[in-house]
Amino acid sequence: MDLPVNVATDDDLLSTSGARGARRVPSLIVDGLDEAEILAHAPAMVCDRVHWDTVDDFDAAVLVPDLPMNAWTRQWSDGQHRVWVPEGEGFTAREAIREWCEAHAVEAVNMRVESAVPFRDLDLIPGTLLADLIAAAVDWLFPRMQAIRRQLVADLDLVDDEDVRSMMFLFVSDHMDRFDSARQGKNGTLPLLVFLIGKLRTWPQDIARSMYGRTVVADRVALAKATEVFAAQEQRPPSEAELAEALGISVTDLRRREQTIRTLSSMRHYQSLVDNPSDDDFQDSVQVAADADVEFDATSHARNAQLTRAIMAAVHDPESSGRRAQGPLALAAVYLSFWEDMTKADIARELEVLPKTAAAAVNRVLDSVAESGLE
Amino acid sequence: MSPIRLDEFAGMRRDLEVGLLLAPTHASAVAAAKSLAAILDAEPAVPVRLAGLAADGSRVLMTLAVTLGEVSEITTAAEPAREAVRVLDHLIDSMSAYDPAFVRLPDPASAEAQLASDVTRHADYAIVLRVVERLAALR
Repeated sequence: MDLPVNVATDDDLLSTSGARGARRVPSLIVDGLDEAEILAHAPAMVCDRVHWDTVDDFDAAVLVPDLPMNAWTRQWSDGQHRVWVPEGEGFTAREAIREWCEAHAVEAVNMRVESAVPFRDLDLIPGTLLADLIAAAVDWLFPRMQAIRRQLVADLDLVDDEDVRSMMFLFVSDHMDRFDSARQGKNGTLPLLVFLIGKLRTWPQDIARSMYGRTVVADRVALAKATEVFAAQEQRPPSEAELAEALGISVTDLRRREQTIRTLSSMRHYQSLVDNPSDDDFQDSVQVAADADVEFDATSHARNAQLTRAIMAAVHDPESSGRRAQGPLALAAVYLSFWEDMTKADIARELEVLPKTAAAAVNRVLDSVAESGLE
Repeated sequence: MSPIRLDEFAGMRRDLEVGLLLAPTHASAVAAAKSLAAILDAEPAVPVRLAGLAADGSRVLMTLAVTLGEVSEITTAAEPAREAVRVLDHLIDSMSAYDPAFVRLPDPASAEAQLASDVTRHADYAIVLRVVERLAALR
């Protein structure tokens, strides 16, 4: 595999703590400058960090000049607000920020202080060196982090493989200000890429937990593991009862957890991550052609099917008997109206009823569909 | 040509057909066709025909034309029309794994309608299944 041009090639062998041979991760070189030279513009400090969220859009840079101490802020991709102040002044800064927010009618939530965190004021790095350094890091990391990329796509329902590179850029950008290169290890100082690899290892779990909540992610991992173990032993998928027994929970609890996961997955994977098709011959139904627009396929078909079920629920009540329900007329009127693009007058003519009868039939179904929560 | 199957000639039956699309994935298309055949065999009272057959992206598209009934039966909610609604509901419920959805019936001159017409002319489920298998193999 070709290395990006902006990378030093001194990846010689070294020994690890496990006494196994490993390759030295190179230092990045951008525009002829080593990463250490670039980062020297923004020396590592130890700061307290005030971290909070706001109900409305807010830029923390507007309050920094009003704080009674030196303070720095930097935008992270999660949209939350962070202000760094000299170590020991975190709690004072928090109160000052709280008062500032109250005075300016900014609704701040979950404001907390983290003490003694590493920080670099990256604004001090001149020109495009910082952006180029981040790009060089992503160029080196992206082709080498296959397992992490696969895990992100598999675990996060709204993430495609083509999204991962830009996500990784944001991830690296977020972590640049906390890179503490002064740490000395057995093999010398810590290179930026090693620091980032360490952070990337837990990235998929962290992002999945923040997206879905810790419990749901743990449930999904446990379900997948139990299913895999059973399938490996028995050469068939487990039944609900067998899966529940393997997990030590009741079938009812299993269904509830599966439903939660299914609900979260349904936007992208309409055929759920936890279900296999019932036909034994065709278990591999999630394989699709490389050029298939899976997201469109899944969401558009699922959406239309949902709408169809809502219409059928409106026109067909198995409990009702006789002709009072007028289901066939309502179904015909709705079908002609929305799938054949007919006006109500046309529908009335086709079905030989009064226009107001056709309109009433369509409106009754639409009301019922609206009540079902579909728009 | 109007896709609506309402015959304008006086004295002839004026049946209304509703289009229902089944969209199984390639891998589950044959299973869907088998399930469909079993359901339709059990419901002979309501005419259902294969109106379209195509492959699109990750899906095989099977369009069914379900006869809702003659217009006067529909407007008066007569027994045949109510039975048709029941069968339609049963179809949608039973085939829910394949995203059944109402759809406009394809133009009879379209490729998907022609393919459906060719395979059903033989009135042989085995041929239909073979074609579905071939569509499913288009990756």
